[in-house]
Order: sequence, then structure tokens, then C-alpha cells
Amino acid sequence: MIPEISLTRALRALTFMSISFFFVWLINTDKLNHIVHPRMNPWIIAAGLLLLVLGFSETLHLSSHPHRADPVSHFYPFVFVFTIAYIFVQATTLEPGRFQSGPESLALQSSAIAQRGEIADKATRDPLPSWIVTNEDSYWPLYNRLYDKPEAAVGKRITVQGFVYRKKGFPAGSALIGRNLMWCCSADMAVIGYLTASPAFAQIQDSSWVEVTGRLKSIRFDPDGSGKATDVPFIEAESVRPVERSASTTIFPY
Amino acid sequence: MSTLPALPPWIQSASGTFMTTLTGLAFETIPFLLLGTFVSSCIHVFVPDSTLRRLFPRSRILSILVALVAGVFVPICECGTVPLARRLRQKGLPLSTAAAFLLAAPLANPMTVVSTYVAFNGGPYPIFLLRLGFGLAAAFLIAIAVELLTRNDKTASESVQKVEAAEEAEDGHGHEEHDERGEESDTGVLIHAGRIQRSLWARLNDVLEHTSRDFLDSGRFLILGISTAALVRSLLPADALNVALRHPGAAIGVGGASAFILSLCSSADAFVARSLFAPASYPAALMFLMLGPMIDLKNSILLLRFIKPARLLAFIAIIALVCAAVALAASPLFGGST
Repeated sequence: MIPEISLTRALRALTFMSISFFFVWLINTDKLNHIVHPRMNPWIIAAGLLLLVLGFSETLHLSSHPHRADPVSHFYPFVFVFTIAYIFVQATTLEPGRFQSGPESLALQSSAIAQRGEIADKATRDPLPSWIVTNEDSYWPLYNRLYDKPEAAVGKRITVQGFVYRKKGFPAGSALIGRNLMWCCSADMAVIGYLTASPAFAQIQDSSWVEVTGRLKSIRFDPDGSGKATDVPFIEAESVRPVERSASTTIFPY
Repeated sequence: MSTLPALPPWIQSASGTFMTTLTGLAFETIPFLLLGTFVSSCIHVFVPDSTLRRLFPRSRILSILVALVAGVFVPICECGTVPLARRLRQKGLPLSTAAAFLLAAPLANPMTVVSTYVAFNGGPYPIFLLRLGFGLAAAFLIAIAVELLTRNDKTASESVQKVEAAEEAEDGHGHEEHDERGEESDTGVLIHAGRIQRSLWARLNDVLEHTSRDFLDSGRFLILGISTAALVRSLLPADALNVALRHPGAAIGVGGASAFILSLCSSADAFVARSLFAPASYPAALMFLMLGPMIDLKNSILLLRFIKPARLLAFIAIIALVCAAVALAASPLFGGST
């Protein structure tokens, strides 16, 4: 005789285990950190483990029906499941750099984000090299230092990688060589980078990854047209070459 | 085969913002909601009502103060504190005490304090201390207002009682804990001297059962909340915030409105506050940092699970008014800027 199985419990078990395995997959493929800050990983792992336990618990009790006064209410929580499934499907398609069009609505500008103060102070203990090459570790400290005192780096050569990002109000012929900056999750992500001028940008599409080498200068720039221009670093590009997208496109400053 | 026409750029941009925000908020909030419901279920099953009541003094004001202090030690963001506050209410604590915990925990927990310190480090003001001090003061005032408004109101806990009654009906049992040892029956129930005590295994099962049901039940409200927040954010013009901030005297209101709409996690909102409002308007930053953890769009919809819409609107209005008054009162500390 086949034992009677509660459909609600079966759906719950399937849901919890699926989400749990999905968390593991996102962490393994490094896709999770395109969505949330690595600081969140322990919480996600804890949630994944708890979901696994919940899934097993539901499986162990498949033959006992959960108490519900209203039979319809067995299923309405699964509205939640369908939405979660949709979000997770979207998460699987995430590619580095995809988000650069979104966080514009936060109205965060490069010059406003640079954390003047401690980070820049720490960085100034070492003199700037004559040729500044940014990498994943040095990007944020250098970014702060250059935005803090752009005049101190005028004339120095810089090599930087990022995606091409253009916005209304940028100086003519220029683009931002941008990176995504994430404080907590993709909902607070913003585009940061260096304004760069090069005739080559006319042939390069937005979001393409490039490596720029050029000379730094300082310009007055008003990113949001508020009438409050500030000094920002500006690269006069000597060369712009297409490169493979960086494995880690996001900067995690905290 | 003909291809579909490309969508207008504003729709592409809005849909990009919507998915970005929705995905980020979902992955940021779901773990905390789950862990919050788990802790809440543990309290429900393992902590007898009488024990919890002993921890909170009979005096309503002292009880609120204890709830504010308790919030400091709970390292969970606002989504996780909703089920915890609800459980405190179900355990018989006053509405004002549960509200004080709900407001204080996301604002004053260690993660929030540390991130605020890091975000504003190097600035001219100790924002992390101001956020903690003024935020807890605002939470205290709001809890007092809740107490005064609901003291003689028998319908204040109607929604919670409805949920509670439904859950009791579903459970078919309570979770009274007794210290006496007894014999375990085949249903996991210990019987001693005529009193019923469930075994540890049975109670662990109860915890998992409550967690799974509460998580799915609250989760749909959370998903609705973050979807609404993502939709509103994606439909706002890109520079709306900058335009609004240019109106003199509007900064505190803009700070509160943006905190409500953006629905950011309190453990990282300080960085966004710094980039949005500092140094232009520190009172607006303070408003953003106080109001955001207390109430936002996603949490408002999550709270609809337990509070009637009219009461929720009143609750939001009280929070907004008190936070604005506190931010205004703090303005002289920032050279009087608003």
C-alpha cells in the first residue's frame, strides 16, 4: 500500500532544498558576489544549511499533513516560491558589468563616493609612482587618493582597466572607465571610475572592457549639473585596447 | 523571421534597475528573514511566556528601555527583527515593548554601529555616535507614543491575536515547558504528575515546523515589499534625489523619503548616506540613518502581515514625525544646516 503523502510538505521540501543547493551553486561559481558583498557569505551559508535541515525535516514528515484551517492556504505561500524561482533564474544570467545601467538611479557619482580621510591618508604615506598601475587590491585606495588630491598626480602615467560607460553631461569625447562599487548588495551598487578622453571611444561600444594607458590631469567637473563642480582626475589616453573582462569586476571597499 | 522592435531606452534602464534592485534585496534579506524566523521559533518553543515576562519589568517605560537595550545585542537586520518583535508580542509583552525592539535592533546592533563608524570615519562629526544616541532617543519616543495611543485600545493587538489564534489551532498544542522529568510516550510527549512536557526531539521538530511555515508566510510579504521597492526605485528619474536636495529646507524630508524608498540594509546604509548627503546636509544623513532601519517600503509590506493598514500608516507617520523632529533638533550640532 502506498503511504499518503502531503503535497504541501513535498513542495516545501523541494523548495527548501532547491534554494539551499542554489546558494551552494552560486557560491561555488562565484556568481553570488556579483549580487551581494562577500561579507554576506557566512549568512548565506548559514541560511543554506538551515534550509537544508528544513528540507530534510519536511521530507521526514511527508506522510503527516501540516495543520491548516483553510485548505487554500496550503498553497498561497508558494506565490513566494515562484517569485524566488524567477529571481534565481535571473541570478543565473548575471554577468559581470551587467549592472552598470541600474544604479544610476541612486545618483551616486564617482567624486561623491571617494572616501576622503583615512584611506587617502594611509595611501599618501607612500609616494605615487611615476607610472600608476591599478589592480584589484590597489583600486580603491588609489581611487580615493587620486580623487582626494587630483592635482598631486597631474602628469603621471596611469594604466587602468574597466568598462566603457557614458552618461549625459560627460565632457565631449570622454567616457568613464568604470567599475561597479558594492557596499552590501547590488541594490546599492554604483559606477565609479576615471573620466578619460580618447578619439578611440567613437568606435567602442558602451560596456566594452578596455585597458587605458594615459597621462593624468585634473579638471573641474560637475557630475549632476548642480553648479557645484569639484576637481577630479582625468586621463588623456595614449592607448585604448580591448581586453577580456576582468574576473572580478566589482570593487568591495568595506 | 522578423525581430521584435527594441524597447525604448527608459524602459530598458528601468527594467535593469528593477532586476538589479530586486535581486540584490532578495539575496540580502532572505537569509535574515529565515534566521529571524528560526530564532523567533526557538523563543516560541523553548522560552515560556512567564520567563520572558520576568525579563521585562512591569513598568511600561522600563520595559521599553529593556527592549531598546536588548536590540543592541541582536546582530540581525530589520527583516529578521520583524518576526522576533512579533513573537515578543505573542508572548504577551506590551505592543510598545515589541515596537521598541523592532525599532532599536536594526539601528543599534553592532554591525550597524561598526559600518556607520567606518563610513563616516574621517568626517567632521562622530555620526555613528549621533546615529546611536539620537536613533535610540527617537525609538524611545516612538515607543512611548505607541504606548500612549494603544494603552486603552483593545483592538491594538487584534491582528496579532488573530494570527496567534490561527497558529494555536494549527499547532493543536502549546509549548509550556516544565522542569520535571517524566516518561516519554510514543508521540514524543513526556507525562509527569498529570502535566504534559514535550521531549527535546519533539520540540526541535516544532521549531523546524514553525520556522518553515513562518518563513513561507512572511516571505511572500517580503517579496511583495522588495518588489514594490524595486519598482518604485526603477520608475524614479535618475537624478530625482539631486533635484530634490537642491530645494532649501527639504533635505531632512528627502533624507527620510529616500531611506523609505531605497529600503537598504541597515548594516550598509551608512555608506550610501555618506555618498548621498555628506557634506551637503548632515541632518538629512542623520534622518536617513535613523528612519531607514526603523521603517522602509519593504518592511512596511512585511508588517502588513501583522498590522492593519490604517495602524501601519499611523505607525509610519509617527516614526517619520519623531525622526524629523529629532533630526531638526540635532541640526545645531552640524552648524545649523538643514
